[in-house]
Amino acid sequence: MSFARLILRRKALLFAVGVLFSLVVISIFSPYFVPYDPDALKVLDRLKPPSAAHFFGTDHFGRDIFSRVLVGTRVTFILGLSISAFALVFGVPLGVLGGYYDRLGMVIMRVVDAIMAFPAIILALALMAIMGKPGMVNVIIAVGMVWAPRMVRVVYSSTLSLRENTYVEAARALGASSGRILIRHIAVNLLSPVIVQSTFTFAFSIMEVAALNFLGVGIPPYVPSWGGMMNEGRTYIIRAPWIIIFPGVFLALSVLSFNLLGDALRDRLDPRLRNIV
Amino acid sequence: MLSYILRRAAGMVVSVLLVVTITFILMQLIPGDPASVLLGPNATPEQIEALKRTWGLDRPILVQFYKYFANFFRGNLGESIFFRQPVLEIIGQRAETSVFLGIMALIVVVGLGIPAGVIAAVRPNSWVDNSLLLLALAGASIPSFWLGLMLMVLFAGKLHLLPSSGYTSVIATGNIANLKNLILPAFALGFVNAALVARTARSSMLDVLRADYITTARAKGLRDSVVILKHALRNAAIPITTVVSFTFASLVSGAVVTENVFALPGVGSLIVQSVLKRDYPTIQGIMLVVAVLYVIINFITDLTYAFLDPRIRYR
Amino acid sequence: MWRRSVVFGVLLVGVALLGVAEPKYGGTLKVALASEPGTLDMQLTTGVAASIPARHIFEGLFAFDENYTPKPMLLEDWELSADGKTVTFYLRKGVLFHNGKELKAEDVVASLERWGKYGLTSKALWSHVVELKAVDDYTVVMVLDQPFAPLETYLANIYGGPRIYPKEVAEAAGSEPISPENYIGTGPYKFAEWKAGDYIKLVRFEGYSAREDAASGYAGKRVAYFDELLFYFVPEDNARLVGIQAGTYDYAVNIPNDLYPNVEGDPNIVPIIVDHPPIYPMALCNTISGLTADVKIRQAILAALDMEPIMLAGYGDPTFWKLNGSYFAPGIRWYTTAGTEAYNQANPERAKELLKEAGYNGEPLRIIVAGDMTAQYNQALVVADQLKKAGFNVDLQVYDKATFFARRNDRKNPQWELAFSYYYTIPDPSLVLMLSPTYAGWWDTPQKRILVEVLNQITDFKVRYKVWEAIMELWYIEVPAIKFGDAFQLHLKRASLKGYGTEYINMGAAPYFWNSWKE
Repeated sequence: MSFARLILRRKALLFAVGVLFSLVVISIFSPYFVPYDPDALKVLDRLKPPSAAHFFGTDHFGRDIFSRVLVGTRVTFILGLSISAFALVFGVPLGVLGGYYDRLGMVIMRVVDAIMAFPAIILALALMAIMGKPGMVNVIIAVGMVWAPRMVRVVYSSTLSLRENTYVEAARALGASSGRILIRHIAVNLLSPVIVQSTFTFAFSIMEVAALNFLGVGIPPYVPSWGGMMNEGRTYIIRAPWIIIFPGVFLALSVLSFNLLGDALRDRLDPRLRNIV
Repeated sequence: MLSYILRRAAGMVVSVLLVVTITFILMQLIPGDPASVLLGPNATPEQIEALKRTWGLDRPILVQFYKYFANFFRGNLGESIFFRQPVLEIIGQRAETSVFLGIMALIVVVGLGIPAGVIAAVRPNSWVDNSLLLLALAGASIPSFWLGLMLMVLFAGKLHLLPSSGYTSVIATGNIANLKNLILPAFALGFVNAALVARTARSSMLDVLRADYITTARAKGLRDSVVILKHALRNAAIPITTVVSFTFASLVSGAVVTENVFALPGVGSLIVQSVLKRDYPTIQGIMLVVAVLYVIINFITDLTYAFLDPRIRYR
Repeated sequence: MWRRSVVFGVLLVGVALLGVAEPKYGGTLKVALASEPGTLDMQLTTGVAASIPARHIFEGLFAFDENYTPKPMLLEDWELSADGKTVTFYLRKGVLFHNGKELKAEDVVASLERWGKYGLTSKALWSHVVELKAVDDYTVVMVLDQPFAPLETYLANIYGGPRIYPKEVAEAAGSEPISPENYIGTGPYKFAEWKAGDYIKLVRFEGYSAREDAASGYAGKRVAYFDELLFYFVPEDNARLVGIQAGTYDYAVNIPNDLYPNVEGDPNIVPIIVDHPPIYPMALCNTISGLTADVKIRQAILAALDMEPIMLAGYGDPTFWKLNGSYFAPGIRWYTTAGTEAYNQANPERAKELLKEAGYNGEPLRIIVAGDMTAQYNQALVVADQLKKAGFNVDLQVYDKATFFARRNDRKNPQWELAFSYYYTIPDPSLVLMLSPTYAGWWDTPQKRILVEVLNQITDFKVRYKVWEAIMELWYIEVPAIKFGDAFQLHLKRASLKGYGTEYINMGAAPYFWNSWKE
C-alpha cells in the first residue's frame, strides 16, 4: 500500500468518522436546537422553497424540512442500532452453534438459505404486512429478520474456519469442554468479523428501512424519518424537489460513512475477511 | 464430484420445500383478506363471508396447506384472486418488463463496473484509481429509489429528455423505442451494483496482474492492452462473473422499489400491489418463483466453484 | 329514415354554427386510471376506477342524465301501478349482447336476482321485493310490499348496482365476481383484454343499438367514435401527469391538486376541475363502542375542528375545495343548511367544556386512516393536531388500505374512534351510507330509524326534502360522521380530445368516452 493511498484511506476514514460523529451529535441533541418544531403544521406556509427562514424549505404541511431531517437522524440511528442488535442477538449464537455442531449447522443453514432466498425488501414487506401496524418495533423485527440470517452466515463460516485452527484442536486435545472452547477460543475470535458485519448491517438496514418507509409500510409516516419524508414528497417531486433531495443526501452520507468505516475496520482487523463479507 | 452434486442437489430441494412452507405461513399470518378488498369498503360482512366461502378461504389451514403443497408439485401455483388467471400466466405477462429492466440494468452494471474496475487496477493508486474507488463507494451508498427520483426530476422534469415512467410492451407492439422508458430505471437500479462490481473487478484484476504469467507476457513484449484484455481480464473473469451472478438478488430487490418509482408494470410492482390487495396466490407465486430462481442460481454458482476449486467439495 | 337525416342535417348546421369540429370515427383513446380495479363486475364493486371502463361495457335499466335524474336506458318504457307496488318494465327490442344474443326479459330477471342476493347496494330495495318475473320476452314485472321512492335511482346506480348480464353469466357467477372472459354486456364497447397491472382494452361493439333520444350525461344516445379504448393503471401521480404532458395519455384522472401549477398555461392540456358534483371528505365516528360511543365526545370533536386548514392540507389550493357542512353540495337539490351551525366551530374551549361534561379522562382517541389515501392521511394529521390542542389524547394509526378497511368494518370488535374516508356524490339521500345501521360507524338511533323509513317510503319530493332536513339536523346533534367540506378532483385531458363538454363535468369524477373523439 503506497503512502498516497494510506493518506487517502486515512482521509476517507477521517471523513467517515467526522460525519458519523456529527450525525450522532445531531441525533442526540437535535430536538433541542432545531429552529422549528419538526411536527408543527403550518398549512399556510406549505411548499416554500429553501430560504433563510427555512434552510431546506417546507413540505406540504408547512413543516420545516431542515428540522425534520435533523430530527429524522435520531430515528434512523435508533433503527440502525436496534436492527444491528437484533441481528447480533439472533445471528451470533445461531451461527456459532451451527458452526460448531455439524448437524445443527446443517439445519440452521438450510433455514438461513431459505430465508435468504427471498429478496430482502419483499420479505420485509411481507413481514410488515403480517404485523399489520406500522411502528418502530415492527420495523426492527421485519428488517432484523432479514439481516439476522446474513449475520448467521458470516459467524457460521468464521466459526467453521476457527474450529479447524490448531489452538482449538489443541484445547480439545487437552480435554477442554465444548462450552469452554466456544467461549474462550471461538467467540473471542469472532469479534472482528462480527464488528465488520455489524457496520454493514447498519448501513444496509437504514437503506432498507428508508425503502420500506418509501413504500409506505415502515414507521408511521408522521414520524420524521428520511424514507418517510421522501415518500410524502414524491407527489411534489417536480414542484418541490427539496422535500426529497435533503433527506436523500443525509441518508446517502450516513450509508457512505458506514461503508467507509466498515471497509477501514475490515482492512485493519482482518484483511482475510474481504472474501467472506 | 458426483456425491458433492447430489449432496448439494438434496440441499437445494430442502431449501425449496422450506421456501414453499415459509411463504405459506407468511400468507396465513397477514391480516385483511382479499374478499373484503375486492368487494370494497362498503360490503357487508355477510357478502364478504359468502365470497370467502366460494374461494375456499374459510377451510381449515391444514387443508389449505395440503392443497397448496399438492398443487405446487403439479406445477400449479394457483389462480390469482383478482385477475382470475393462473398466477404463472400473470407472472409471465409481467416478466417482460422486469426481464428487460434486469438486462438493461445488468448492461449498466457490467458496462460501468468492469471498465471502471479494470482501469482502476491498471493504474493502481493513481488519481484515476482513487477517484473511481470513491465514486464506487459513493455509488454503493445511494439508495436506488432516491437516485431514480433524482434522475426523474432532472431528465424528465427539467430537461424533458427521457420519459419518466410507464412502459409498453416491446414484444406486443414490436416497437423497440419503448425501451427508452427503461433507461432511467435501469440506470438507477444498475448504478449501485456497478459500484460493487467495480470493486471486485479491481481487486481481482490486481491479483491477476501480479501473477507470474502476466509478468511473463509483458516480458515477451506484448502490448499492455493485449495483456490486460486477453490474458488478465479472462482470468479475472471468474470472480467477476460470480459477483455479477450475486447481483441477481439485489437487482430483484431493487426492482421492487424501482418499478414502483417509475410506474413500470413488472413483477416488482405486481408484488407490492398484491401485498396491498392481499392477493395471496399471487404473492405466494412470485415469492416462490423468485426464491426458487435464487436457490437454483446459488446451486449453479456453487457447482461452478466446486468445478474450479476442488478443495471446496470436501467442506 | 328521412327524419333521422333531417335531424342529422340540423345537427350538422348547429355544429357548423358553433364552430365545433365534426365528430370523427377511429383511433384509440388512452386513459390513465389511478388504480387497477379488482373486477369490472359492478354488481360486486363500488370502485370508481372499475366503473370507468365498466360503464362502457355494461348498461342498466336506467341511466342518469346530466342532472342526475334517472332516465330509461335498456327500457323502452316503464310504469308504476297506482298503489306504487307493482312496477312493469318494457325492454327495448333488438338490443344485442356482445355475444350476439338478444337481450330478453329472462336476462333482466336473472341479473336482478343475482344483484338482489349479492349486489352491494341492493339491500334497501330488495328487502321489499316480493316477486320478480318475466311476463313475456320483453316485459318484466316487479312486485313490492310497499312503495319504494328511489327505485329508478337504485336501478340506475352503477356502484354495486344492477348491471344487466346475460342470464347464463349471472346465474353461473353467484357470489363470485364474474371473470373477465365473461364480461358480456350491451354497451357501446366490448371487453377485449385485461393485462394484469397494465391496462384494460375495450373495442367498439359494432352491433350496439343506440337510443334515439339526445345524449345527456350517461343517458340518451351513445355513439362509439373510437375504435378502441385503453384504460391504463398508473398509480404514480407524477406518472399520470407526465404521461399526459407527453401525450402518452389523452385523459388522466385524479391528478393531485398541488400539481395544477405544472399544467397551467399548457395549450395542449385542458384541466377539468370536477366541482359539480364534488367529493365529500369525512371522518366516521364509531357510535357503538369506545370513547365516541358517548355523544358528548363526538360533539366535542366536532366543536374542536377548524375546517379550513383541514381542507387546505387535504386538497391544496382553495380553487379545489369549498367549506360546506351540508351533506350535499350547493346546487344539488338536496342541499340544505339545516343543522350546519354546528359545522366549523373551531372552538377548542367549547370542546374542552364538552369533554369535562363527558367526564373525559385522557383515554386515547384512536384515529385510523389509510396512508395510501393521501388526502385523507393529510387531513387526519391536521385533525389529530387540532384535537390534541383541544385536550384529546390522540392515537393516530396509519395502515394500508386493506388493513384500514378491514379494521374499520370490523363491527364485532371495533378498535377505533374516528375513521377517515371520502364519498362521491350520490343522486338520492336514501343512498347515504351512514344511514345504514350496518355501515361502519353503525349509527342506529330510534329517531334516525324513523326518519329513514319515512324517507324511503314517501315519493313526494317536497316531503322527502323536509325529512332530509330533519336528518341533517339530527346528524349535527348525534354526529355519526364529520364532514370537512366539498372537494374537487382534478382531471386532465389533451386538448385534442373533443366532445368532452360541460355535460361530462356534470357527471363528476366518473368520465365516459362514447360521444367523444380525437382530432
